[in-house]
Amino acid sequence: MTEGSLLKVSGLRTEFATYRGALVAVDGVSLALRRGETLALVGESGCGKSVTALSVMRLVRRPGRITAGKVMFEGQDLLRRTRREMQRLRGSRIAMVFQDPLSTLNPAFTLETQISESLRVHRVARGREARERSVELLAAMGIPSPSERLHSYPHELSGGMRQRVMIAIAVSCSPDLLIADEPTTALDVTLQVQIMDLLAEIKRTRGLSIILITHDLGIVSQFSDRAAVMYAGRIVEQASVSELLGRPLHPYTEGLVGCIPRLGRPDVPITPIEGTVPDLVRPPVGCRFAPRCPRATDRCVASEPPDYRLESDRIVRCYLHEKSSLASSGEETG
Amino acid sequence: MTDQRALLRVEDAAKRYRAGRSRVRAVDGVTLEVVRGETLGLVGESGCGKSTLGRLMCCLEAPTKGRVLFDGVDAARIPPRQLRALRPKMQMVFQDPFASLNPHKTVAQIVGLPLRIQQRASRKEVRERVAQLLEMVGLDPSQGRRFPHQFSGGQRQRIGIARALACKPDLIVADEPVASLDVSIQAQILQIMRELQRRFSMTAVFISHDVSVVSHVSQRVAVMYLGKIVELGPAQSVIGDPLHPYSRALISAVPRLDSSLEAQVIRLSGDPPSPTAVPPGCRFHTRCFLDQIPECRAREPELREIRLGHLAACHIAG
Repeated sequence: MTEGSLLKVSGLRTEFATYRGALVAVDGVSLALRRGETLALVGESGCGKSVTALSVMRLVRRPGRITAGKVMFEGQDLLRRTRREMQRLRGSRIAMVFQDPLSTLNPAFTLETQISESLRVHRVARGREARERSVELLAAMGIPSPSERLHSYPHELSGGMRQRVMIAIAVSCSPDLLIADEPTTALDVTLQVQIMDLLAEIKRTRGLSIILITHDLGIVSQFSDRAAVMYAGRIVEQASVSELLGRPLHPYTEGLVGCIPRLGRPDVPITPIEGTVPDLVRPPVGCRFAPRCPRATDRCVASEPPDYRLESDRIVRCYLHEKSSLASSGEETG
Repeated sequence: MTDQRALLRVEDAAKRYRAGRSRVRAVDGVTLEVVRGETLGLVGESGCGKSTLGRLMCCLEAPTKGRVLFDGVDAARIPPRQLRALRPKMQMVFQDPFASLNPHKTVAQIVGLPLRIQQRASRKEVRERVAQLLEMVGLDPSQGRRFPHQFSGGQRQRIGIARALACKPDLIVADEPVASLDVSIQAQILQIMRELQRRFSMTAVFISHDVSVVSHVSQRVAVMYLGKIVELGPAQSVIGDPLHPYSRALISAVPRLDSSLEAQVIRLSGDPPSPTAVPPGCRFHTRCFLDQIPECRAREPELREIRLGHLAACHIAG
């Protein structure tokens, strides 16, 4: 399992101090990302998918705090690195693309300054070489007349172009891992296709591994290899995308799939998940999905199920699948 | 083209705004009808003018050119007193349930306000009707005493719908009512919309950027691009077999859940042009992937019926 995995997160726990007590946004998350694969982290707002990514990057800010777990990246635990070591790693080995390029690009500087900054800081190139590299990067991202564009400011670009620039900066130092947090949520579908194509292409040409954070199961289906579904701070199911969407096992995954209106099939009814997500300051004692689960039993309410590992690397956190579990004892419960 | 059952008729309506020295052609010559009892889906990408068209349809804005006839009445040309009497018949549901509810009022006050203003209903009548309305959208009437901030986004959207339904409007215009909601909550709201259609044969315009959502609730669909309707027809026909190259690209770009049904994705190059600089001829010709004919650059295509009840504004399609 560890062989070939670029990143291995185990038992990660991230809390936010609130006046009502600790809000555990990420609670015992374990996942592994293999080299060259795209792993989708799926879930609805507040499920902890973005906080998981920020924790991996060690970018959680106060009042947030990582309180337990390991983040193994190429044999090193990132949670034990110094601040300085993390700074060197960020942008050079692990890079991130955020949802809103307008708030992540600095409005006061030209694209040239912002792209060459990461090249300079990580000592990849400087001066004229940095400029040439920047032009090459913009061209590779499909930006027309890149050398003129270098002198533009972010507001002069369209949303799709800005996201291309963000990706250019992210891949400028040839990272091994790219974390893309809802990279196309702010974009229209015709632009979304362009950006997702670009991500797929740079993954192929640059041998990147990608963690793709999204709420859109359609994107998961089209652009990733495996997926982990998060609910209320926990990963409830992990499987290959075809298995996950073709035969969802966890009732929450099943519920999510059932919520999505099928294009051109108004005859296929949508079945909403009743209720709302639990309060993460005082989460339910048992399974976190039990209050909304149509198949919950007394046991589900009373105690939380562990992770059950099923055939072909599938992990489900639900008592319904206890019998088909490979190992009799659940592992990695955090 | 003129249908006797039409509740709303938009005739060559345009809405322009001045933005500094340039003029934004937000809605640029739209003609369509909304028939009683139907839900018309209005789909398009950001900046295509769908929200402005929605506001024109609800008579919240007067068109710069053309007419909007509600039940035969041109709302832009009647005195304010008459317009006010018309208002309860057309109601809008907004995208942002945080911004569209007054934070200082209780839910019962918010939902009851239209009744008090428009129908001069007594307190008791208002109370009963509010309870009924809240129940209709799946909220517990006892929650009426709470304030909007005590509700989640999905619940707030239900409150917005209840308020819109308060005066039993003839027409509801819902502008991206589910865009800010998570999928599981979105499904709940869509369910309510379908339920209302079934129970009251509600007439509605459903505006969204999401083709799947629109296809789920609408009988007819209009696709908008850069201020104009480029395609209009029965939902099944438009979504299943779109005619206009823009609709084809838009629909093909929606990521599918079942990879077995994966359609060939048509990739458009570039960004949509700005509504301050609409290209001459066919406004889509700068991004069109079809083999163009000289007409495309020279003359703006009109909507024409290509299949029964299915129109497209393209010189080549069909």
